[in-house]
Amino acid sequence: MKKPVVGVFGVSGCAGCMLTMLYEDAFKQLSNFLDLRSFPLIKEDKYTGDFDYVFIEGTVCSDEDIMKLNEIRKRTKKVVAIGSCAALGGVPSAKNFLDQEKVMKLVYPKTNQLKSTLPQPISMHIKVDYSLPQCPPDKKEILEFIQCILTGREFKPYENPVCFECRKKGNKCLLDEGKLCLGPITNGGCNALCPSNKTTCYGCRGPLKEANLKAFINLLKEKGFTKKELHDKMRTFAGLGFGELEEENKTSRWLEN
Amino acid sequence: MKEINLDQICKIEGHASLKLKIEKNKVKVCELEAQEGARFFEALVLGKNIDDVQEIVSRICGICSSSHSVCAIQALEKAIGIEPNESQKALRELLILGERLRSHATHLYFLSLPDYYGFSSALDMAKEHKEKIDNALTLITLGNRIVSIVGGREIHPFIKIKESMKNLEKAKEAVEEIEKVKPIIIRTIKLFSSLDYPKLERDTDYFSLHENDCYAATSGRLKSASGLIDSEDYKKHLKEDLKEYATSKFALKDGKPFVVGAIARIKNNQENLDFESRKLLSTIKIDMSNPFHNNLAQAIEMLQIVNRVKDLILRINENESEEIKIKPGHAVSAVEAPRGTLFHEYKVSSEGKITYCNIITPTVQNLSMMEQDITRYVDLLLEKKVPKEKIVNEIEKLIRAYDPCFSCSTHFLKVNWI
Repeated sequence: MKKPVVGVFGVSGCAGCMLTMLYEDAFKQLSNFLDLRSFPLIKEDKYTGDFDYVFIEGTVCSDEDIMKLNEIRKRTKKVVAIGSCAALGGVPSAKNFLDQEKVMKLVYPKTNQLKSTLPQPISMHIKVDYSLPQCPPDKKEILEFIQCILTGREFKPYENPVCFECRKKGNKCLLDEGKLCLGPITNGGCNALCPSNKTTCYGCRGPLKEANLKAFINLLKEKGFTKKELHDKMRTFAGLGFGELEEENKTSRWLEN
Repeated sequence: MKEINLDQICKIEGHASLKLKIEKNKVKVCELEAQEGARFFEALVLGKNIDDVQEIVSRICGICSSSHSVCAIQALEKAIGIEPNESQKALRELLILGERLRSHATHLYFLSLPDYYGFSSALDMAKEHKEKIDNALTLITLGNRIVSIVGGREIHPFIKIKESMKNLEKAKEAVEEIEKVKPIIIRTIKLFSSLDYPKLERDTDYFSLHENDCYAATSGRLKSASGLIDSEDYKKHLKEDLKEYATSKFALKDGKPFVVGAIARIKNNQENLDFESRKLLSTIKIDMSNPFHNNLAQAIEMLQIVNRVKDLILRINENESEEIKIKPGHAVSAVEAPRGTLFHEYKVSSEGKITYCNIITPTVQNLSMMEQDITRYVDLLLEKKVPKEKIVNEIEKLIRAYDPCFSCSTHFLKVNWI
């Protein structure tokens, strides 16, 4: 069988996702069983042909990023958004919720020097076939995805809240300890990594489809959290992911009433 | 030949391009540009609670997320008047060293070695030199393991004010692993000291942290040819300049280009290396004035890292996390990230919110010297009438020797929150 042709690219990001693909098992799989034609982090990018699968990390932060995505999309059968930035907007997209003019002025005294677009997930610009959010991405999930490519099995994303795995592990509930944890409204599959390390869930795998946001917000209200605290948390990692949910469910109104 | 343009420099961290204009066989213009979109990290942490800062700034860079995390936590602790205990200090140094080991191994074997073996990438090199890639992966795995033992995961570790994750049992297992991996490190040093490096001399200033009694990683004063300064005074000496063609800033030290990173650390602190590393260093020919020899400095540092890690693991003990009292304050912290000295500065309000943040990354400090070295090297190659294609290869080799990180460099943005 012909090996599937694969590329690994990044738009504006930290390279953490690409490194996850370079370290150990994922790299062995990529280099042995797939035809890895483009990976500019470790390889000159001279290939101009088509891809079966392309993995892309990073947030769209510039016009160059958009051009690059469009160019890759044209040559690719299946685009895989890897990591929270590509899939949801990630940490950089918190800028969407700040006063743009103020940020720009304060960060760059001479604003005319900077070209910057609003930070967005790649799906705002091109069609994305699969998303593997998490920051940094889960190695096992990447390996599972590669197995799906190799065997022709359809990749099934995990669809339970973080709390599901967290309880199974026997962790103490951080919400019970008075900490603002997004576990109940966040899609799991991370094996509750953050709560298991005494860190609250920041929602880096994105909102749970069936999240009962109203009940969650009532719980937070009871515990005395403010609207700003909830928004700060929701906007740290999932970026625009929760933004949409906020809009739909009008979190602000609930929190204020 | 009038121009050389490298639109996409590969095998480096992040995206960058280079423009050279040549007149009468001399380089007239040399512009190195980061092609990363600005991500405004310093603005994103403003108004945030001190507990949330590390999770955010860690994401500046996947390669040096431990360094950003440790640097932020140290600065925040200093700002609110908290002193970490000896065990916590050791844990933080372990995070920095584990990360440096995997970063150096990745750079040396995946990015740099193919240049010297005449392969276009590590993937092609793997076909004939599988053991080199296996060695790289073994070293990376050990580095990852050290970071995970302390930080709970390999990239973007969990680390908190006055607390660090730890797993003493796994740490002891890692010590055994080190003994197995050491011969690979010795072979790596021998391999990289046997390569035929291009000859290029430069007169520059080397800048790094310095401690009297150890090979500085997370503490100390800043050493350069002009003596020692306190990290709090970094802004008096490092001036940042935003060039029209680049989103990253270029830093100068006292008005001049300078160098940070492995070669600067070895140059400034070689007397503080452990006995074994110092002895091995004395047997190899390392020329500090040659930028290509940064590879050799990285290889030597890998031996220092594993020897130091063994010491540090013995120093950690169980300690309970303590209640933190917030006091308003302002502090700077400097750590030695894989690519050189990293600065984080924060102001914290009495409510524990961030009101000011400034971050200076190592690559930004190297950019000016990189441009100077490229100019000098290309002039030399033009004089020897080297063909253009070969010049392009040589430029890339030189840029890669610096091990630049352009993800980091574009976040060197000054923020004054009014």
